[in-house]
Amino acid sequence: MTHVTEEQLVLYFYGEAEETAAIAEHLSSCPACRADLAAIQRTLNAVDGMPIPDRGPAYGAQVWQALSPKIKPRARFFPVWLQPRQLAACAAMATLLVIAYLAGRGTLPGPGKVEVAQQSVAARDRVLLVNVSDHLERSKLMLIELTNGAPGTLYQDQARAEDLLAANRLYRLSAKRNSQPALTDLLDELEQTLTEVANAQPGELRQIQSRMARQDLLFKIRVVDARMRQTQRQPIDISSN
Amino acid sequence: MSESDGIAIERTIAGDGEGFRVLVERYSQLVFRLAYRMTGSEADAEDVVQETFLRAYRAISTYDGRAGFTTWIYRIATNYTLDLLDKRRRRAEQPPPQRIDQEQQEWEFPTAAPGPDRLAEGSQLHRRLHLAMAQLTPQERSAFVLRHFEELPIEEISEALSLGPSATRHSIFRAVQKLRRSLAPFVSSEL
Ligand SMILES: [Zn+2]
Repeated sequence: MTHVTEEQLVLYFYGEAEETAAIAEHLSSCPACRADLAAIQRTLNAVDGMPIPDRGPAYGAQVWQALSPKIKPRARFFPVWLQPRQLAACAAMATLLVIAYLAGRGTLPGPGKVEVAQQSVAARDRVLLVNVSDHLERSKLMLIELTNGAPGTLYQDQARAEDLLAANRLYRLSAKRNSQPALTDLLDELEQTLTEVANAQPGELRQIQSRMARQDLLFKIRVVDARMRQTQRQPIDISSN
Repeated sequence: MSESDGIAIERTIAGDGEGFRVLVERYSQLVFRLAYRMTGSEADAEDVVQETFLRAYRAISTYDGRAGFTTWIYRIATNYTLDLLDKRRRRAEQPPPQRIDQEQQEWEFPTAAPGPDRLAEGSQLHRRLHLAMAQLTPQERSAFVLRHFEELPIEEISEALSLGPSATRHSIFRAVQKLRRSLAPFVSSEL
């Protein structure tokens, strides 16, 4: 073999040469090529000394601070009006529409009031159920994190589980009143798990995890959630004003 | 809190901004380092960091997990940096006489290197390093930085730069060759 080319030596240095064995063999018997490789190595060692300005440990947080006003939370599967940040506003608006609509009819005397009260429960349920997908998504993420989380982070999940639990009760009641048995059952199971998580002692994490696995809870959430999203693509009956 | 990238990405896709915060906080330094080595300018590197994460956020639903998140974010950062350098180069080409110290403006270096009591010798080497890096083309510089500092395999660099593997190898070689030429007097006397 003739001498190794400079290109081959550079690639050899990075472990990217095509004929590594042949080059190694040549190097073992050729002081000139060895010297050349050593010179490349010295150059690259010097390059390593290129200083990088230190941004400090808070840099990531600073970047986030500058960035967060520029980005809007959104979800891939939600239509625009169902994006998480809009959800609260949207639900509030829907409630207002329903109230306005009912108020318009509410001029009726006496017995009409009862009708109004009943309708408003049904309407509120519908509005609530629009948001159940988001709730399922949050619950799912919390449970995934719980499954993957380090034992020391249980308390963070517990705080989230408590929040979710409060919402879950409302959704479950709405689902039941709206005669949606599959959703009611799922929310019922979810409620048990959330209760367990919220009240768990640090040592009980594993038990909860294995029960979740047995019940296939995450899978059920995915299935029901997918079905919910599909129905949600159809317009919701709040435009009757 | 050590949430995995996967979960943070899933949360982001689900619309939870906190998920993206995890990723930004985790990878900002990394992107800054890469961008600084490619541009030689703190201001440009800061710009690259912001723009990279903005683009990553907008495109997160297209992230398919085939490459690691680092590779994916490097790809975005590299593309944006190359655009930036390209624009700058075209602008620099406008005035006809371009001398070597004007090239320094294309790839900005802190002329007064930071750090309180650096040996004169040390800062001279740093200046020299910056000048040497400035003489690489953006493509050579990117390929070199990704291979040498970030230790990415050739395939991933090819993907990040949209270059064939042999062109990528050749860019790395050209970069090292140029660095060797411009640092030769310095390096051999040093060691
Ligand atoms: Zn030889």
